[in-house]
Amino acid sequence: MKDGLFGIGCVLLVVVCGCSPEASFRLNSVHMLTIEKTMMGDDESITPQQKLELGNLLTAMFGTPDEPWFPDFIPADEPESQVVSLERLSVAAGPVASDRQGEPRGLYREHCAYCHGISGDGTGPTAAFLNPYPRDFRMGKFKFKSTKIGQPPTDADLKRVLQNGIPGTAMPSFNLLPEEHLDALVNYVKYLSIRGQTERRLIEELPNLDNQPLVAAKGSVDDSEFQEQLAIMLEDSFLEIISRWAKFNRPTPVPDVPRLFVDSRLTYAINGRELFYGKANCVQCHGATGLGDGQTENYDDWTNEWLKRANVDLNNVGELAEFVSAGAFPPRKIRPRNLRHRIFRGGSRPQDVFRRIANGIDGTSMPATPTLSTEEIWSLVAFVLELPYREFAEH
Amino acid sequence: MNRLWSLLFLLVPVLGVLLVVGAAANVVPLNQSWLPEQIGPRAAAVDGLFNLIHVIIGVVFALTGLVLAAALWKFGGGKAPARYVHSHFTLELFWTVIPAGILVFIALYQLPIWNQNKVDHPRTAMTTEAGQSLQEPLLRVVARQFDWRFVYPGQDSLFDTGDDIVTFGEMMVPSGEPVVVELASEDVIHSFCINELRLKQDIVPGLAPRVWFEISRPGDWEIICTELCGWGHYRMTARIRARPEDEFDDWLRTRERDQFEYEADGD
Repeated sequence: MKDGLFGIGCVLLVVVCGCSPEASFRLNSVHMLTIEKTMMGDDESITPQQKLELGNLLTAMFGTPDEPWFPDFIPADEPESQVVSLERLSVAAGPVASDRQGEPRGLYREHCAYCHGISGDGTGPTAAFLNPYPRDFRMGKFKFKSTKIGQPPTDADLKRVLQNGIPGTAMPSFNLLPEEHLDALVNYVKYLSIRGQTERRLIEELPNLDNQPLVAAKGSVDDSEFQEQLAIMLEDSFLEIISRWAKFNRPTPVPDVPRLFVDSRLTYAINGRELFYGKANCVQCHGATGLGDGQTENYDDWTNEWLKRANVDLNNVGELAEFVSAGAFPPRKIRPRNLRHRIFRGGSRPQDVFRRIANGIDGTSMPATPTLSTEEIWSLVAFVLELPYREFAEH
Repeated sequence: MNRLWSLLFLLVPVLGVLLVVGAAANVVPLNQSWLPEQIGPRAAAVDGLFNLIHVIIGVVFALTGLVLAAALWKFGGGKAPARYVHSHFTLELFWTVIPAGILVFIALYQLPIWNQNKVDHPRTAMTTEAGQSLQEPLLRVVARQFDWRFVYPGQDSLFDTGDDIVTFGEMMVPSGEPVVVELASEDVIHSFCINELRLKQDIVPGLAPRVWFEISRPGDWEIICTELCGWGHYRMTARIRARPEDEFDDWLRTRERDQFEYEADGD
């Protein structure tokens, strides 16, 4: 009874004083566990000291959620310097507040963090209740974009997702936010992605270190050693990651919609139907009726990343629980899209569907179709867009 | 001493009435934040109803307060000991019949306004055998946790066909003419509300309720969800924009081009 009262008193004290611990980024424990299981011996593990060093190093490179930082050693005329803007970061980061002019601050925590989490790991407070789970930004992989599989998305791609939301998921539209807020959020998502990718690189370095320190601990006797090693890290992993973001910040072209496509879409659709069952073999996953009931045994890359890589046996409860307690969500199989619902997550404009078919969908089993001609892809687009509304003859 | 309390109780009806009357007469600066602006011809009728009910409950409130204070004054101080009364037929008759009468009056009085808002669906000039035909919805509002999407039927005037035009968070309607809107929900119960039109309609999933309204002048206002629909309910807003007919047509054509006619250079 006394304990209970004490507990309530403590809670009240916190509520009244409004004191909350300073926000911090969480380390990627799931990836560390995967690396321990796959690249290290049975008696080896990542030591607490190494985790501390990793945290210090990441803080030195990227700051904290309240005070984000981005390495700015790249000259301003290089495209890499344009990838993340420190000024925009300060608008999106930090606790929800407004500055003296009444301009909001902390946009990420106001609009995104409850699902995507402070660290951008897709484990915010509501995440476990959502299907599909919110995106984990830390692999730098995004599904609905105008670039090819394996390439980062463009700024316009990320912004479009914010504006339109993702139909068929819990991602809502943020179309009412002013343009500069959307730009700040896009910038922050890229920041979290690049931070996450760098973190993964560093974690993958750990097994090669043979229990040597990752870098000399910050604030140790000789701080210059830390700075020196930090510089090496920056030029090595970080520069490679960021240069990809700079390089691919342009959409892959979508050829002009053929005039014929607009005028006689049905003819195109009938050709597309032949391809669906034949050469393009869409039927294998999307099913004979397009209901998405073909191949339904796959997981997406965000799950396979630990599930398949560490070869986790789903029947072994202990093994799964280890990953779940490290922060992974119970795995869910992904379903090929039901093409009769007229809900297209990446957008339902013809050019959106064209890109989904031509480029594939990153992180999923939907492949790119380099063997199809432009004309054939447009035919498939026509078929997919008409399928919810028309009855096609039995195949 | 106990009579002091009856005087304090008397302050409640007196101050309450003074505040409301003072605000209505613009002596107390409160009526600027009284009700939102009216942007449609039917808003005034709803406000009239609101004000009427406000007056009725105001009078009842003041009377009840006065009677309470009088009772405290008369029986306070312990001079007259409390006495148990089992029933009083005449009194009970009055306090049943009068409120019932007021309720029946309000129920009948509001019927024309209910009719305007929920029954009298706008009709087209075109007549069929069954009389004038109903005006078709201009668009379908699709609510989901936690945003609004707006589907215009496109050139064939039919929903759920390949040429539907979809917009996110932004609903455009022509100003100065009646607009019919069909509502739909993808998940839970939402409620479509535009304060300035005094318009509110629950959307039960599976039903397709319709609302109609007319916005008298061009402008931008807010659509809000007024049925608690989940943790993100607070952020479920959208913009409604009214523009003259030709501007509306231009806007719709632009949306249509954006959606269907892709040019390789633009994105």
